[in-house]
Amino acid sequence: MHQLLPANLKESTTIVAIAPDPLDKLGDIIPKVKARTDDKFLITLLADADHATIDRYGLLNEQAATRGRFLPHPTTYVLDKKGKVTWKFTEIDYKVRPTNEMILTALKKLP
Amino acid sequence: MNNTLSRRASLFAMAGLAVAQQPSPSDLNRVKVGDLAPAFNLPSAAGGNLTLQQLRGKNTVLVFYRGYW
Repeated sequence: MHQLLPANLKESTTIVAIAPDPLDKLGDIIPKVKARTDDKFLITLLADADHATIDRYGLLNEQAATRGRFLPHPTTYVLDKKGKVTWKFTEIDYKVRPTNEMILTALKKLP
Repeated sequence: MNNTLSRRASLFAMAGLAVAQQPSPSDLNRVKVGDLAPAFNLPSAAGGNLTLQQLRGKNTVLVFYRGYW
């Protein structure tokens, strides 16, 4: 995603990804992503091991939680420089994700 | 006896109220376009912690994903 950003957006955009993984498992995804790109890994990965942040955002998948899996409904937000949500994509079906183009369009609208 | 019972009943009522006031962890409309994103402070794979506050001044793509499993 980050390498797709035009130079001016690279400068002004941070990509942060939050998962309900413990910190020591979080980095396991990095080689997987690196295998698909030559660029540096420029996404900040954060561990929400007790899913408190997922809960605060209202994203807990209750069905999975009843089976002891505390997963979020995958959700992407675009935030402006003040932390205000200017775009959001959330979907109960985890296979449905926003395209990079959709996110880019939202970012380009920001000052 | 009655007093104890009613005290217990009111304790239960308060506990129920506390549960009811706790926002549901599953409410996909909680954070909407136009809202300020709720604060967080989480450990980063790169070391240290990151807060939402630290992201101020940059546009942010914030992704919640299911993790490595």
